[in-house]
Amino acid sequence: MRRERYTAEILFVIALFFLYTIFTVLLSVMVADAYSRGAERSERNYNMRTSVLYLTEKIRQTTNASGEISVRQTGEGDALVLGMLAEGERYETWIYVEDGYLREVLLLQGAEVSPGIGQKIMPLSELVLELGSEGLLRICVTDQTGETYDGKVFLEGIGRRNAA
Amino acid sequence: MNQSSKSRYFLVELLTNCLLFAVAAAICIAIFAHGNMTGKKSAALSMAVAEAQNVAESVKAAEGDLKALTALLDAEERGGVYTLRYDADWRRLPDGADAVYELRAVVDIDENNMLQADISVTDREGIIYTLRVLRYLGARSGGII
Repeated sequence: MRRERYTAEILFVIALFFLYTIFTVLLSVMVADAYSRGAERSERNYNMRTSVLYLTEKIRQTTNASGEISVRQTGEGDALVLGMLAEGERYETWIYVEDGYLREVLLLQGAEVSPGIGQKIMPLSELVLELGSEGLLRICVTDQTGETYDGKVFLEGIGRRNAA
Repeated sequence: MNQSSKSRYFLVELLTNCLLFAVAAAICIAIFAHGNMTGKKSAALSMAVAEAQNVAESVKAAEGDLKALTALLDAEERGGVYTLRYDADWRRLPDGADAVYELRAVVDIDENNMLQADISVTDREGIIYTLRVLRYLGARSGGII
């Protein structure tokens, strides 16, 4: 009788230990899943917002400095070209996507953008720019997971010039 | 000390551990659930700010012309109010669709030719973000609205 009770107690302890182990693993998996989802969401937010904010800030800097802004083409798609005057020379900042990266390069006006010349800013698959007659520039970026994000910025100088 | 009392002590120890584990797990789950909710709210706020800014830039570009703004926003205007609807992933929905997020832009021009647009983004629980655009239109585009 005593031996049977002892066996039952041991079995109960073992069962409890297994239950404990299962719950520990389950909790670890749940926490890891919640953490990875949070990190993924945060990274997606960063990727989406940073590239568009970078472009809009560059545009605003150029607009405030009365520089010229235009949309041109490179081998892999659209490029934002920001003109500026420094020490009597005209320079252009090209911002474009090449080899899966948003890149930027400062060139003398009229110089060609050659492959690999631009400095890497951040990973990005595609950049589509559309400049409307009212001066509204639509920026559409696609990140490496295929998610797209749209941003708009009003180029006051272009809007006024076209309205005149 | 016999075998039976030894296993009994071990059982008590294990039960105490289980109790501690349950308390720690409950706290941990509550913290992660809260973190998850905060992350979702943060993502929604981030997107709400971006969408409100996009609408604000469109309002500036339209220069008080509601027809131009209708075309830029691709939304219907009712008495100077534009309503844009979005699903849970912030994709635009057609008018009348059951939306998770809603952006309302109330556009008005006063007698001094000052354009004012009040943009608010809401979800089912309430307001996420508001943005006011004030722009002096000058004599050029006055009286369009």
